[in-house]
Amino acid sequence: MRNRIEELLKRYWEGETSLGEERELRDLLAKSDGYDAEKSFFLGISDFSAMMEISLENPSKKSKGLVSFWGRIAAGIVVFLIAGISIYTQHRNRAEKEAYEQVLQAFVLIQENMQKGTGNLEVLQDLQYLNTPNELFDIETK
Amino acid sequence: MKKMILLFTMLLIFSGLRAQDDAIVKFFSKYMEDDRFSRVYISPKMMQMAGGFLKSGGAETDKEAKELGELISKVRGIRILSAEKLDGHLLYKEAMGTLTKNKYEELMDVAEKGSNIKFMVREENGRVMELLMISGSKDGFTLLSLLGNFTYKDLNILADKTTIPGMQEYGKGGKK
Repeated sequence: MRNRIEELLKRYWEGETSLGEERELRDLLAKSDGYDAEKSFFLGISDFSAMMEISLENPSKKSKGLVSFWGRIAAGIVVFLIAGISIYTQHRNRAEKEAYEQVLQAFVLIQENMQKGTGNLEVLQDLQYLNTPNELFDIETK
Repeated sequence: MKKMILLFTMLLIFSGLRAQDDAIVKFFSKYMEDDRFSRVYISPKMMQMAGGFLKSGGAETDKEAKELGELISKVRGIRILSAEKLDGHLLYKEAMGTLTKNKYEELMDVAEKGSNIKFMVREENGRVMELLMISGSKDGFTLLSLLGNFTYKDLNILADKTTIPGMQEYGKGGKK
């Protein structure tokens, strides 16, 4: 076992070990006596790795998910609001136009009928010219 | 006893005032369900909307449009009852019979080629509160009631191109 540890340690420091061999080395060190410096080194690495996992991965994943969740809701509300306002404006414009057209139709009906009467009175308008000579020559009619 | 007489007098005045409106409302409601008639009611809300359309630039914004907008803002509502292919003379007489008891003043009466058109106004404190148009011919009838608060100058906008002698005086403020 010691030979295997020595061999793996040598390969480790030379950077030739695979992940499986490194795992084997940690296991062998844990089972054997001695090698205190190596044990604390590898234990330190495994602790550090565990810490890195916690500190780096989880919080970022969590916050990203949270932001995108609320972001999606906000975006949905905005889209819904814009669509709602747009539909309401369109509907209101159409209703206003229809109301305006109906009012105009009513006005036209009044106007047409009024002009039937006033049209007949156009002849009377010409009567005002009967007085024109008096106005021109400033003749007092009284 | 005095109180009773006062109350009775007030009731009579009140019912008299109500009758002015009721006569025309009754006439409208009488033929409301009749399929031969077409009914149009333009509510104050719709008048507001029509005014909104003018203001929003939906229509031309020249002087005439401005005048029209002002007129629209004074209209409280329009009721139209019309029918075709029936004897309008009978309905014309019926409508006139309903209204003669009330305080409508005649504005214009046109009788030509078998048709009668009458314009009447209801005034309150020198302001025209209602313009009523009744027309009847051998093949049609129209009753139009324009409610609001107008001057005669406002009504002149409706009778645009009118050549009634003396109508210019309204424009100069000779008569409101």
